[in-house]
Amino acid sequence: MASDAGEIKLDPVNPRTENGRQFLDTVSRMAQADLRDLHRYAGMLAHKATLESISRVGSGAVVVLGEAISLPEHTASYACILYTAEPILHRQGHTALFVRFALSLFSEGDRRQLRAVPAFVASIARALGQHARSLGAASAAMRAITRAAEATAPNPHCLTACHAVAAMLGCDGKHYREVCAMADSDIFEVLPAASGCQVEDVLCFYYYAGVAYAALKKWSKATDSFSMVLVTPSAALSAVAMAAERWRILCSLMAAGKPPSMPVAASQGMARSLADDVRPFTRIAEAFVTLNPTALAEALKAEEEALAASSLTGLAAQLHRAQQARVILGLTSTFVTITTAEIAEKLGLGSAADAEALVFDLVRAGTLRASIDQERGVVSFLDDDATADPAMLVKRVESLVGAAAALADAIATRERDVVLSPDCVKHATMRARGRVSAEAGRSGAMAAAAGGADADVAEAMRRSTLDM
Amino acid sequence: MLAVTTAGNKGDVAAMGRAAARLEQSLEYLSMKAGDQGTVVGAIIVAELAQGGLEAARFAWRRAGAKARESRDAQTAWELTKCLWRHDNAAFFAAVPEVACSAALKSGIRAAAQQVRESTLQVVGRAYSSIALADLASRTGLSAEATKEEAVRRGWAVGGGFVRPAAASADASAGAAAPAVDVAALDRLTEYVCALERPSAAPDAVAVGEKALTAVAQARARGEQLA
Repeated sequence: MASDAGEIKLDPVNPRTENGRQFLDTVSRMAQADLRDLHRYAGMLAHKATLESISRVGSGAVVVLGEAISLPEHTASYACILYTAEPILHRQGHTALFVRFALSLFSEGDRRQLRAVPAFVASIARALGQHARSLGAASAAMRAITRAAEATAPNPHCLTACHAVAAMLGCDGKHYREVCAMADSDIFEVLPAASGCQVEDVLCFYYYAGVAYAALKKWSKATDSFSMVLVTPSAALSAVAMAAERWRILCSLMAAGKPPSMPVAASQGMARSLADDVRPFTRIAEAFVTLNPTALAEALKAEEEALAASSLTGLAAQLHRAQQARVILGLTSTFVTITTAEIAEKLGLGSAADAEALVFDLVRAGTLRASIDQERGVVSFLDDDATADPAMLVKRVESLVGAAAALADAIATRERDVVLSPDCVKHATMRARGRVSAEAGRSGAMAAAAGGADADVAEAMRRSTLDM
Repeated sequence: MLAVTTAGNKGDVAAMGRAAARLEQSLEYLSMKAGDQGTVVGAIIVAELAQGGLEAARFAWRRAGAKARESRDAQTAWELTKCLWRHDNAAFFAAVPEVACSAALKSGIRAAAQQVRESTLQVVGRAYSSIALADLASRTGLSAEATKEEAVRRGWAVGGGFVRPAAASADASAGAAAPAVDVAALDRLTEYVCALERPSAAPDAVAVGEKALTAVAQARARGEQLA
């Protein structure tokens, strides 16, 4: 990467020109602005005239960064200037300089000010993601953007553009554990106005989260994550959704031994379009569920091109082992003991030693409870601890019931928030306008609401009318 | 870089791994010499192996740049990772004493070897009711005598050239006694099942909320004045 600004020729800011004077005056006001009212300040920053005055002075604007504008005191101004200067810097070949300034912004910037300028932060994060990849700085950028994601989210459950960019960079740099840690956190809200998040960010976040889970062999979570891509509302079928469905089929085979069903919340149009696109993968799934290794091998060979085109050859290669595991797991319902030679014969393996190695791998992974008697060449399938022992079973049921109760509370709280949100009330009102019947007088429910019987409903109504 | 080598020389493998991971994700890493980058990569790999993170070790190699991979430290760490990836414990333990790497990584490699041995013995204890002594010795990188001593220390039976781990053989032995029935636990389980099968008497909060909203929306559409 390029070193500091002194070695790079940037257009200087000429204070004798009108543009130069305007820009320096703007910067001075930014530096002195009272940051107690950050929202109004952010509005001033986003004002068209401010942005134009910065863009008119060209790349010299960033020379000001580090002179008149410093971190963390003037984080919002820093973000504004960097947001405007990015295309200029990129055009003039100073991408490395932009990356360095952006990393400084996200690493050292004041969190409160970053939260006040979500659109700037989102745009800078997306640009940083692209440029960092090309410069081989994905790992450094990921760390800084993860900090920005935590800083700029309106609440800990909210998704931001920074989350999506961090997930992308994490997968690019093979920091799968970090991406999975981010995906494991309780993120379920999308607030575009407050976070700068767009539909593409939602799709990309869940897609890359799925890729990271698959890399760490967390197949169930990967399948769920790819399902989230399919249920994200969007105007048209996207390339991300098509790629996610291909991954989802293979991950579901690894997790559950069968292809996934289309999520209920996915649109029918999308489901129909996807069916055509993923036909090669559907054929692989059909061969997998036959538990016939020859059929699977033939299907994988036949769909080699489709797998290579989707960069899924490596994942598909794991299907053989997964199918063998399914066969062995199937044997547990029929046999209590079986010889390793018989297992090898059923699986078409070369020797009993190969069968023993396979059973050992399954026990090591925790997928199977079995005991290998190497002396006699026999495998004994054991009962699951939790079902064999009533005390352990009760403990397990107690913990599941507790978790289910907590989940039910959380869902009830979220449902109430959604139903009583001004947007939902407004939507219901607009629908009801078309279905008003001629009723005379006030309804009982109306009287109850007006009388304050449900204060929350009345408040939600009042807030919705402010926007109408 | 100093933090990495200092922690490694002190034998603090976890701290070495954390320092190396932080360095790898900084801009400073990009301008380091190839040898130093390789040491950072090697430190990350060795720290992961010492904590049983075989996948993370593999990914650390895969994201390393070409010049980092050429360094001695990175190559040594990767060769050890490859042995474990192929489940070739014998090759892994044979390579450990002969490793050619910096002093900072050596203690990490010794810790990794200890971790691999311990986890192998635990898995063998779960998976086998009898295993050949020679086989167990090659998996743990110990001599036959040392393996026998380790097995006896764990309470496993040894005889006839075979080792019989205690836990697995107890489970698999014919006529093993069933666990004593805890009547109180069964009572509680029965109550849970009955409660789950009983239909819920609580009102459907969502349906009530929807009704209220619809009524309010209809009233507003009629132009009624709201309090």
